[in-house]
Amino acid sequence: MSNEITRNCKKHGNLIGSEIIRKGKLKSGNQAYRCRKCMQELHKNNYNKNKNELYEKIKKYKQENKDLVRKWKRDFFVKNREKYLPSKRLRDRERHKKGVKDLTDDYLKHLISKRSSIKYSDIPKSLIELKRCLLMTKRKISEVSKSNKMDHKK
Amino acid sequence: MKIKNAEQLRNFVLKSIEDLDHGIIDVEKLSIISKSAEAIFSSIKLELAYNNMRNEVPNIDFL
Repeated sequence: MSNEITRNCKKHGNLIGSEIIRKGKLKSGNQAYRCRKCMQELHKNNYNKNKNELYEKIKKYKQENKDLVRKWKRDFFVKNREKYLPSKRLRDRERHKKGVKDLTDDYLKHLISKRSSIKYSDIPKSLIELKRCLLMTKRKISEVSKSNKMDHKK
Repeated sequence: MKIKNAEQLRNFVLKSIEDLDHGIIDVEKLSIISKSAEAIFSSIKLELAYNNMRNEVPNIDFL
């Protein structure tokens, strides 16, 4: 005879094993059980209902315990360094490559503000467009001169 | 032709690229235009940086 606990749920029918979770104790002192799916739904509904309050509470706690949160973050990073560090580097590299290839606004802003006190927010759209145009011209010149050299060799 | 702002300069450079494609100008001429445009661009950038710097300095009344 197996000692597996079985219960009956009004919503999900007969429950066996991992479908049941422990939830407090009865007045008689015996263990109380609940349906796992029902409890999940209950927690989900409660979370959705009190989401904003919860976020504010977490935000407030983080502001009050900045040092502690910083320590947690540092510990987490040290523990998972191998997992996160290369991926971030790869992500940055890919973003940079995309910027160079497509001449994205961020890349051009970076080029314009390089070695100067100009902030990204101060750069007007016309200047970004001009920089893009100048880079396109440079690329065009190098492309044409390369093809000319190849023709001379032939 | 007088170039007054960044937009006009951009249009001029774009037109030069089109001229190169149509064979009206050659690469050397385009490279000269490009270098001149770079110089004007630098001056615009310098002006922008100067204006920002001047705005950042607080106006302190000593009197």
